[in-house]
Amino acid sequence: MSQAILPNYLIVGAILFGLGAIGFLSRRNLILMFLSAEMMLQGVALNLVGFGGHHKNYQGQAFVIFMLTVAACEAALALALILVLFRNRKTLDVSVWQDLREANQDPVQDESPLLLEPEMTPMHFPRLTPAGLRPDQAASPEEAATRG
Amino acid sequence: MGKQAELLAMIGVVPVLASVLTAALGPRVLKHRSHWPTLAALGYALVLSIAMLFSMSEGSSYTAGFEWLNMGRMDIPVRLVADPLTAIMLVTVHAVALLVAIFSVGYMHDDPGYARYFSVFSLFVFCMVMLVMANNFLMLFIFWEGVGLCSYLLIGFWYQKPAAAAAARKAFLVNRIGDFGLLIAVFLIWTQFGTLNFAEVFRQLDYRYLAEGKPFDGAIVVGERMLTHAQIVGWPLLTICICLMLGAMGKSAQFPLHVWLPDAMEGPTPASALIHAATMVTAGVYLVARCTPIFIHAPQAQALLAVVGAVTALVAALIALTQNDLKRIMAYSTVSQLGYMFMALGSAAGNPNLATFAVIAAIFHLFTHAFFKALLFLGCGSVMHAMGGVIDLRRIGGLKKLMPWTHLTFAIGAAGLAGIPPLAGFWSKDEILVSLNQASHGSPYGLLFTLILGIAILTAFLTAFYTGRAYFLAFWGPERIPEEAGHHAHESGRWMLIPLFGLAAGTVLVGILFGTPTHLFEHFLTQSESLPKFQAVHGSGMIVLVSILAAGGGAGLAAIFYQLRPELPSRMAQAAWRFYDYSSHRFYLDEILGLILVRPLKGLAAFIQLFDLHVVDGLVDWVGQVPGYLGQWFRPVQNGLLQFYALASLLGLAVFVIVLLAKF
Amino acid sequence: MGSLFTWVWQHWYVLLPLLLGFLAIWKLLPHARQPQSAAMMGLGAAAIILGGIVLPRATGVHVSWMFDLFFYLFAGAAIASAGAMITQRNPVYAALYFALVILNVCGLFLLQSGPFLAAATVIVYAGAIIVTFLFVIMFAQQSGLAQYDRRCREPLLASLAGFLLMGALLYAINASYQVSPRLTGLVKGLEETVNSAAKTTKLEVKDLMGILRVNDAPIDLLLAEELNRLPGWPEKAAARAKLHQLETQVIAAAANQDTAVLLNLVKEYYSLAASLQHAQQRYTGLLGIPAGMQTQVSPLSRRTEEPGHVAQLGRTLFGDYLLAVELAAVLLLIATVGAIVIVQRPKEAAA
Repeated sequence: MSQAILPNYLIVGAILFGLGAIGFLSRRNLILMFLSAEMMLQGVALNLVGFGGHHKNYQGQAFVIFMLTVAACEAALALALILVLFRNRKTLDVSVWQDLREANQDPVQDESPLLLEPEMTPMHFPRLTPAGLRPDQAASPEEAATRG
Repeated sequence: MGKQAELLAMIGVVPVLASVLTAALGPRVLKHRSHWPTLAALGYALVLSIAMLFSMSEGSSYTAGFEWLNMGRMDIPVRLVADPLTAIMLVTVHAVALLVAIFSVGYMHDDPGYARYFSVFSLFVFCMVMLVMANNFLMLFIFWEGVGLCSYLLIGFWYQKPAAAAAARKAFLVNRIGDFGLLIAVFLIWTQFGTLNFAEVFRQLDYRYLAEGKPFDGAIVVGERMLTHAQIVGWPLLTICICLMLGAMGKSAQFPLHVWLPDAMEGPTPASALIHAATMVTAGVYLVARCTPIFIHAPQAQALLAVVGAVTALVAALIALTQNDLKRIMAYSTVSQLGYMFMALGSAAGNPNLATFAVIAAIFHLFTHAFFKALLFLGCGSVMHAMGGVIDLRRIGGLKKLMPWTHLTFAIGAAGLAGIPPLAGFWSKDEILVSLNQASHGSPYGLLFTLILGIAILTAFLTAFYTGRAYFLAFWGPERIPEEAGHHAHESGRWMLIPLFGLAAGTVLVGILFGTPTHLFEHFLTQSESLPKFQAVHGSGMIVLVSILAAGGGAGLAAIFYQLRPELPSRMAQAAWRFYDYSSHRFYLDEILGLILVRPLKGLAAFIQLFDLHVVDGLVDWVGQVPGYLGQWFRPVQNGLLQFYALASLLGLAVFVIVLLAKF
Repeated sequence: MGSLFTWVWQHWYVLLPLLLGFLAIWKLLPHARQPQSAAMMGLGAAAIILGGIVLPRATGVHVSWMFDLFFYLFAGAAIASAGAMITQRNPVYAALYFALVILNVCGLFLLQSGPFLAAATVIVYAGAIIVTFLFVIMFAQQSGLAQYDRRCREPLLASLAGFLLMGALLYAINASYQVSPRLTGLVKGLEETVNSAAKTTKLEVKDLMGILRVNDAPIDLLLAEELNRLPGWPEKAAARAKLHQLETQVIAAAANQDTAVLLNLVKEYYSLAASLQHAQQRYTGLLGIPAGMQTQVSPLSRRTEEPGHVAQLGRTLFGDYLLAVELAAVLLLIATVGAIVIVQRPKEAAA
């Protein structure tokens, strides 16, 4: 392996880390914040793998495997927490959780109205067929709603 | 750490373990068995201290401990030290405490605070033991306060009783005056000597030059300063001694700080026996004895000590003459006897060669007094227990037949206190008289000590008289039993009688075994390194004769007054009504103190309260408001948005890394 | 101020792509009243390309051009996907871009001979985690795009903080691997002198002494300065001693007018400077870690040239890190239980 590999890996790792940090700081969707944090972890993993290659041993990769483990735990718990939060306020917006602000402090509100963009139309996700029915016999969602 | 050091550490540790154990398990688990940890610990500690007493060889002292405070020039280890003086105190404390604890099992049974009582009891023993084993003034002060605390807890043991609570508070506050003196003394010792270690201080004040008559002209290095002898021995030392004396006066209830001790009788009688008669109040005597190497440089302080002791002894004895409460009589007699010890300690004024003998006399009296006074108090307790809590001499009487064993042991104790030979009190009192006699010849304060010797003999006479009065009123004459006793009036049980027998045996034997007949005590205590060179003083037959006459005369007079011619006392009282009035009102000392001390202090306190409320609090409030106003500016930063906080920390990290790189 | 300006001038090649990237990310982040513009996307792409040109360090030996190609491919795609992910308004697309980041990072892992690691990452992240995220997103956002996905919190400050940190890291990495250009020039000059001296027969002491001075500063001083930039080099003391020795010998030889000895000394200087240059590549100022350092590693973790990477990784994991593996297993179990407990509805709410 070439010696110049290590700095290049470090550079890519640093860039991923920085971009992830920006995502974590600016995005308001809880899930996106979490994904950004995971991306920061990927930057760190690149560092570790790069150093492992540099030193010609497997310690770096072993550490990345531990990182994967911990990240998986973290993801499980974070998703659970996000679900609980969502259940409470019916939104994934992190800005609704401002309860820990200083007393007598007004909550931060969104000032400017949104610019309605054409691309921002509601999206339709595929709906799964209820179990026990053949897809072609499944009722449309509207009908299912009327049937109860 | 040698074997002796382990012994020392164990003696210190065992009672506190018992205390913690009782406090933790007592109310829930042990309940009426709460006395076992205390009894076991005290028994064990007694065995250990006796072992230490016997293993103490010529000029030896043992240490154990660990580093505690170490900053700058100040180095205060928690270090235990045992020399003969300590060993004697340890044996006294543990022996009396064990017997009193056994007595308490019978006396305190069925009390709801049973576990609390034994927990505080053990804690007291721990504090007292640490006090006498301390090797520096700071530790001594800490445990000095510790025994004060335990005393407060035990006086106010029945805190629902307003009198008990008030007495506890009074004891604490009066003691504070003395403690203040002790604290000042500790500060002064620190500034003057640069150390708080006993041995260090004493070494700097090397007493031997006095004992050997060699003039001292070297300079002593204290910290970075060179101190000449004159600088050390001048007024600072006198101030230190007077402050130490003030501390001792508070703890040992010396006039005019004695007012707390009679009130302290509100506590459980066994606690009074242990703390307010046998052990804690002797801490002042111990302190002065321990500091003898300092005191011999301040003869004025020693003379003052003797005067205070003489006044106390006489005043307390006079008050005791007319009291009707059995426990109060004993309390005043305690004050009086402590005055005796102070007289003895002061008798070395201007005569350093006498110092060791004086200390031996005082400590020996302390030792014997512990036995017979504990015995008398426990006897009172036994009577009180049987009489349903009544100990008014006007309402009880003729208990001789009802309580034969209590009567016998009380008689022995009373004889011991009165100084009837060959009981303990006779020997120790005799030594004090010998010491005073010696001081009245060939000392700069000869005239003073002649007077004090006279007071001592008069006090001995009075002591014998009021002891006899209490004894005859309580146990002789027609049988009078108050209705509170009901059908409970009975001899006390085993738990209470065994300690009485033990203490009675002690009263009979310790004088003969250790006193003048054998000189054992003397020989043992002279091994103490910190004491000046011992110079034997031989008593004169004259003193012995006067002492016996005073004791016998007092006791005989009491027998005549209260047994043979019971109408005499009231006629006497009428004839000398003014004196009788003064005595029974304790010379209005409480009132006088109230007028000259408490009233102005209350006024001062009111003023200080106003100052505190308006000036200090105002300032503090103002200081407190400043951050509040500042906070108004920074408050919006705390907006509760998670990402805002994360942003702040990441920006901080970036700046930090950049600064680091710029420096690199 | 002046020094700051010169510093910026010297490091423009690092700062420029960073600045472009900062602008692009700032403008591309979802703003309430601005649609994403293609110009900004182009700016971002330009930043990546420019960065790809100036940032990587290729001073070492090339393995193969294929290796470089794949490295650039994976790295560029990873960074581009990362930028796209954080600027996406649609969280589903963002999750898919995240998967793309993962796949590209796995490609980088493969380049570092970590096939098992790459596979594991793909399975865990791109497989499990992304699917779960998508599930949650779809569960939570059945009514189309949410308001909060179309605006973001403090885009300017967030980008500034991120790029400040990124710049600091890049600068640190760059500085660590910087072979001082002065040293490179010196080595080159000495090499030429030695080569030309081998051809010519006539040598003047004056010329040789002139070579040993750069810009009127003696070569010894320059080399000593360069030596000071190498805190972690084990042979530093020896090199310093050697430098000192050469200095005295040069003075002696110049006094004797001995050209042959002087030429030898120039050669010695050359080899010293070359070894310094080599050391600066390997022993770095900030990192200070020599390449190929194997002494601290247990034999189980050591990478051998024989094939069977997974087996070796397994030996490392279950040899050196056995306890840690078991602890990680326990951690996973606890996290599973915790997740289940957390999402459970309270009984009365469920009923």
